[in-house]
Amino acid sequence: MSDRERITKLVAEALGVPASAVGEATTSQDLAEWDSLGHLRILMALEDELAVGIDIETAAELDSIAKLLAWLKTV
Amino acid sequence: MRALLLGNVNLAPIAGEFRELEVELGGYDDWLPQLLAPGSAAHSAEIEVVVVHLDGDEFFGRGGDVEELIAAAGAFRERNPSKLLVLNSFCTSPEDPATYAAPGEPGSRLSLERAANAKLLAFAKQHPGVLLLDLELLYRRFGADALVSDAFWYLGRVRYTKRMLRELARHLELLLRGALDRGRKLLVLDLDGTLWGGVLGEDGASGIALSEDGKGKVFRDLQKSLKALREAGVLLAIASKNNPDEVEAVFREHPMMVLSLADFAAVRVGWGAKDESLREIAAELSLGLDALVFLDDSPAERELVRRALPEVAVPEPPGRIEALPRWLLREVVYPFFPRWRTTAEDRARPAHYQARRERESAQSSLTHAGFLESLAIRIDFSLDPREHVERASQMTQRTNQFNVTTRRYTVPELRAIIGNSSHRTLLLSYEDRFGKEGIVGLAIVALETAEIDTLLLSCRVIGRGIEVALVAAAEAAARAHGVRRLSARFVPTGRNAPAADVFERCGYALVRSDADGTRHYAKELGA
Repeated sequence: MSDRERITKLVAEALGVPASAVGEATTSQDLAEWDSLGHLRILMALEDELAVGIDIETAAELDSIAKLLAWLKTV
Repeated sequence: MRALLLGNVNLAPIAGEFRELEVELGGYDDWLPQLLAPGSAAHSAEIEVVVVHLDGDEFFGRGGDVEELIAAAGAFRERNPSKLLVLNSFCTSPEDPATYAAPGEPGSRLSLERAANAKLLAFAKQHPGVLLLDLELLYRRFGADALVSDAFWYLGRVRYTKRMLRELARHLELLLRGALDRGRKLLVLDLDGTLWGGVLGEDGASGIALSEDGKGKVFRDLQKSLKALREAGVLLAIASKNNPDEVEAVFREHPMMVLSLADFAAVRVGWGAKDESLREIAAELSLGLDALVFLDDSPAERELVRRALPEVAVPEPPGRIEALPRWLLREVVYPFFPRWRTTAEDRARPAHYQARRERESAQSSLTHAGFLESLAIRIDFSLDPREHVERASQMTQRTNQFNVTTRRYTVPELRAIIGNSSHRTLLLSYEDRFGKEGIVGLAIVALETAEIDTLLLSCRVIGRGIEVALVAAAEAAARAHGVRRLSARFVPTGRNAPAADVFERCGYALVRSDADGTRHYAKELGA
């Protein structure tokens, strides 16, 4: 599975939305479920499934699939 | 079940982790007003369980008083006697400025925590509807680093990692299952590779792994756990493909055996299919199949049972032998036999079942009986059946193994016998769950000499105990004609050893033996 596939799947599951609702261009603005709690769920899933921890300063900025993907490359 | 989850930290991300409970969440840190205000959501009729989850660091850090918590919980219980209330023991962070130098010092967080936990436990013990989730068990297993997240705490007042939320949800559900007595009742165990290492039939009693060191200790420890479980009221049973005599000997004589046969509420040792054994065991103990958990080291047997009996839980054992004892507790006992408390009835249950077993099966089920029962044998007799004379003749000509006299009869000879009142001829037809075997047994009783002239069974059905029924049928036919003492003989041919002891087994006395090895028997039939 590519990073893109893993991240879109993970985000969709964390937010409880269909996989089709999340694409590479999706941002937190596009989904009502991607609110602050939804964002926390995404971060928790990242830590749980990919074993990657995020510092709270970076965490606040990762509000789109594109940014999540870019960040994932740095860890 | 509908539950309301309250707490002093943000627990919202736990929502997706429940499998059995339907969980609603309270507002942030509103647990105290929820417990105290009679109009709150916690008091509403639809809510069956109220969980108050309190984080120790937050609770003590903000000057929380366990007495206040207990008073609120007690008041809530009084107003809501039908609801379950779940509290948790506290497990504070190991890092705390008040405790870094001297953890046990009075006034330290750790001493506060310990005093509070003792009070909470006492409170839960006094109130049947109050359960206490022991948070420390989770911390001991996974460690605080795996369960607590500083990032999520500062981002959104979520204390825990996803892993902790998952485990917490699971523990809550198990606790409730245990409190509501929704656990399973019977643990059915295989023997080879499960109660001891190795294969009894191949390695022998002295070759199986069961000892105080190495691999043998793994199984000895496993047995100790099972013994403790049995004493806590979990019923145990055996379903094993083995020779019953060898199994009995191991239980009786092996010095490292912890369990005894008397520890098992039901025993099936034989060569029947395991799913059939499980079905029989459930029926014998009047349990539903959904009360059973089945442990077997053989993937094939596990697969068979999963397919044939989907109601039975079949946990997947660990790949490594040394992991077995811990796996038994973690993945079998905790999930399938959860307990909130062990009652006197729980402790008495195995003895109760054992007494029942002894009453009901005078003859040990540790025989071929399990296998035979699993076949669901049906036999039928026809008396003097002219229409089957050809088959009857054929059997006298062909049957060599289970044949006491090996007298060969042609069709005309046999027709004459059947047509004559001096003889009674019995044909046995056999059917079991695999299908019909048809006519497979024959007995001829000579009335004038009061003797069993012929007794034979097709080799297809030898060893299933039906010869006893055939002899009994011959006796009944003789008795119906006034015979009080029936004679019989066994004439050895070199091939008919399987029939050699049939008359002894049926209660015949040996009268005399001839030089050629022929043995003459007799039995008093009574009135």
